Amino acid sequence: MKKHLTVGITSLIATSLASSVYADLTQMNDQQLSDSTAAGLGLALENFVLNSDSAVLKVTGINDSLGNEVAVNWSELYIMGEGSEEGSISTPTDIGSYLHPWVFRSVRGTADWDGDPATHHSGEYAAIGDDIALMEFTTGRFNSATQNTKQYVEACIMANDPACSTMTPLRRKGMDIGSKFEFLLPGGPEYLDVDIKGAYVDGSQFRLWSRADDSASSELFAQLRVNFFAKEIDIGVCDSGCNANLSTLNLDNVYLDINLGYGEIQPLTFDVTSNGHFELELAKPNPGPQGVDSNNSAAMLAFYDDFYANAPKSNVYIGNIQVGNNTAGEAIVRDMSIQYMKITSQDL
Amino acid sequence: MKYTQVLVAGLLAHFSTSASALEAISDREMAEVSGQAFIAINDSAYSNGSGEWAGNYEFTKVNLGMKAETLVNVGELKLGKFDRTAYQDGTVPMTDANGNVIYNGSQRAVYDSDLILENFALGRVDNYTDGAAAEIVPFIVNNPYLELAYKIENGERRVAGLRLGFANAQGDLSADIISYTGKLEGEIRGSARTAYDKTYPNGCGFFDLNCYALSIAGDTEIYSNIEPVDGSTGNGAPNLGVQYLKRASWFGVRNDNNFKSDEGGLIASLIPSLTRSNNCRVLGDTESCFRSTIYQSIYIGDKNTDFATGSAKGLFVSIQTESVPWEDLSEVPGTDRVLTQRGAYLNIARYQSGGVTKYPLYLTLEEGVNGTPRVATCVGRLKGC
Repeated sequence: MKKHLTVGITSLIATSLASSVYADLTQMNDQQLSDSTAAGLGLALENFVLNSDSAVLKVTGINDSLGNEVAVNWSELYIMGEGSEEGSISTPTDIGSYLHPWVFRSVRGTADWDGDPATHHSGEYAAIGDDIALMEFTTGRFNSATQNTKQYVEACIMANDPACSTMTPLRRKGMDIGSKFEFLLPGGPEYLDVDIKGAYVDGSQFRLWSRADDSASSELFAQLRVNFFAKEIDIGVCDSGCNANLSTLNLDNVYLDINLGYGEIQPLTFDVTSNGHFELELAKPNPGPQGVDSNNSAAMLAFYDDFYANAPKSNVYIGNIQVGNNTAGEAIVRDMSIQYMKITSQDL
Repeated sequence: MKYTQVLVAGLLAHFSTSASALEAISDREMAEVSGQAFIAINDSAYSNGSGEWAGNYEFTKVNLGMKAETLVNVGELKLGKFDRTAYQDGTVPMTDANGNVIYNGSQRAVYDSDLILENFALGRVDNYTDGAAAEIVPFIVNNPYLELAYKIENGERRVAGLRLGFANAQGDLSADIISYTGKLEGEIRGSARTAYDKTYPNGCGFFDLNCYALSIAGDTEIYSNIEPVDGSTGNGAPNLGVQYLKRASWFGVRNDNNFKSDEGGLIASLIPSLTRSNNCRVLGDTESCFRSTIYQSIYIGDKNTDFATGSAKGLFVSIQTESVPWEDLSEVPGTDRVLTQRGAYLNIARYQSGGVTKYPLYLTLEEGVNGTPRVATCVGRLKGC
């Protein structure tokens, strides 16, 4: 499996860079699949440039509240390296690298539920039992405080660590990402031109696993960590003829550190109802995996103390919100902890 | 949209029952899948404002069809962190616990952000000290929306504001309210006897006509509205000639406001003049302004009814880079626009429900003076988890 997919990615790079590597992909049969060791797959798209140029994607199926069709023209999409001047200069970037690839792999949890409690919250795959495997997709990982975006933002953007004067010049460049949309509304067309400059996503993770219950049925569980930082996000609302310096919404130093779910103690679940609506649920913390008696008040209080101390919290930071010369200042959401959440879609 | 749902369902089927094969569905089967109106986009315009809200505005509102229930805690929420000067644009100064202005050198100090909510939480935990019986009571919102406001000027269209709101909301909102910018409307209600007992614990002095009148009022029900005020002067937004105060840290009965009574009779008719607020005092020497931090939990909506009939309308938080007249969605008769200015804004205002105008915050006289206790938002502790 690894071999075939690696060839596939090489082929993708070849397509992007118009080099001369050609390889045929062949389908694996069930036997070959079952023989694969699931060691994992690294993704490294170095010198990557995506530019949709003049292609337009039409999105339909969205209405206004009166039921009128709102057509959406998606007329621009680019992913380039930082400094692309909103996609106008073809600047390559890396989506993963050979040293820091994006990885899709199957691994074992690290929490020993029946053994040492110290393992419940430590280790790479905390709160997921070492008796089950999980599938993980993760963006590149960096260990140095300079290149690890979470550490860098907390030290140099949200605080002012003296070491930042030497760290900042050593940071690798981020990505530029942009898209342009035209909404054909009854009152006339509206435009949304989004340009993200200097973006980083290292340290993001998406994990999936399941565990059979007493009736041998199993449910899919998930845990999501989004680690996103952009030096600047510009949102324009004019098609043309506007002075971007006066009309564009500028967000500086946008940081999202979003954590949904905490292993088997608080998994994230997604379901679709028979009438076509989705349900996204973050159930209240479950003491079961740790063997805590839910009828024992003192034990449950200790369980919650443990959960509050170890479950990852979420943070949001925007360094400045500005249009022209008018600023609305900083925005900070610190240490957000969701103990329970259930979202159900419904017709408007 | 139709196709997307089918695809998602297919993926889920694959994950949960990995042995089963996926089969393409026919066009006929596909045609029987009904598309769901999960997202709706609306545009609107407004040009009837005056003063700094004059001119042409346009709005794009993205409505999300969903119902969400949650228990969430946030250590610190800060919006609109930028420099302001006391007594400009309705900004009020920082004070000590006694209402004395705090100075930075020769300048009156102000809080650094429009909204500072510490230990913010939505939802609550009942029986929080009993780990086995603790029960989560979520905060519920219906059909959230995101809205962008644009100002059209000299042929140019520029972003002027962004707001996040909910068509309906119900549940406990808790926080240490350090700095408040926006509208928070509450009603304080109780008997004149309670006011009398608090004001004159030792009975009436010689020829104290106010005391005699309040004493005679007995069980007459009196009420007033409370709002953000300047703790150093007792001024509210109308006293300062502004739409709302910025960075307020006190709530109360503003200057020149008073208690009222719907009952008839001479004594009831005297209540307004007896209870006119002046410099954070009513009835001579009774405090009428209180630190915002004593109101630890506010129940949004009517706690005595279900979500369908008791949820509050018009709740939103917004950020503006200039003045924006947002559409007022409270459905209170006579309301049209919520007039906001540069910075952050939190709207916890009156709303219409069942043909009646309701306040998001109802307090007894006792609660008005002593505050509202924090409902627990964690298991095993009131807050901070």
